Amino acid sequence: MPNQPAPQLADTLGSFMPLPDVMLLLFLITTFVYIIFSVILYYHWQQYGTNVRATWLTLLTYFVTTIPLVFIMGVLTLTF
Amino acid sequence: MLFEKIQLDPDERVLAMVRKHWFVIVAELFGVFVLVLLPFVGLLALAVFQGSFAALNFDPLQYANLIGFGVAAWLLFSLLGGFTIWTHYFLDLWVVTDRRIILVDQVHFFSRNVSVFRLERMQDIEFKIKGIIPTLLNFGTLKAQTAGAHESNFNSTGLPDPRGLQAIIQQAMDDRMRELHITPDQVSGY
Repeated sequence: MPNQPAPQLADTLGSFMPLPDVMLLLFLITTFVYIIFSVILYYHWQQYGTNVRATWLTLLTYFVTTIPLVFIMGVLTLTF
Repeated sequence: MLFEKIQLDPDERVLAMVRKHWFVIVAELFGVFVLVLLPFVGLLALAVFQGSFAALNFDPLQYANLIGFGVAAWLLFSLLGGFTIWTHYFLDLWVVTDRRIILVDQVHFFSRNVSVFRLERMQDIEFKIKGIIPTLLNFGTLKAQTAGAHESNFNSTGLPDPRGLQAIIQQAMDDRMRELHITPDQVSGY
């Protein structure tokens, strides 16, 4: 039908679930995966690390680089 | 910490402690670096070809939050991959003492092999440096065979200065056998 407007991405996604809900669901899944991964990483470095300085530097770098990303994802989800 | 768990004898000396060559980790992390760059390349392409999207009835600015979320998630998972690689690299360890070789191999998370080879049981030890980059940067594979009812070998790749490491182990083996009054012929039946 030539006069019909092309469907928007939001319409396609919205037919399955409202977009804010999709983002919230994705955010919750990502946060869950992130928390589990962080616990595993922390456990391995605490348990098997051979150098205290390297262990703390790694964990510090890990949290400094990843927490802001999770925070940004949270803010974007809540402001959508 | 691991060292508190590896129980060395009171008078046991650590001769060398090595991890894989830095090139190994740099090569592996390069892939993660490319992954980290990808969304920025995508965003750049989106900005450059913005006009083309208008014809498709697609306004990227309308989905700024969604795109931002996607980029953040992509970066997060790339970083998790990077830290996994770093963990596997750093927790792999070779410890050569004057009595044994301790090999710690962090295969995956929750998959870890710790092997101990007593020096007096070692038979052959050989190193291999194969390729242009390993030759230029001096890293390679160290292979050893141990004697015993159940023969076991170890084969570690990407070790820095394998020739030096072989020399250290060979010297330690000789010293150990002298200390225990074992001749090289006796090793196979030891």
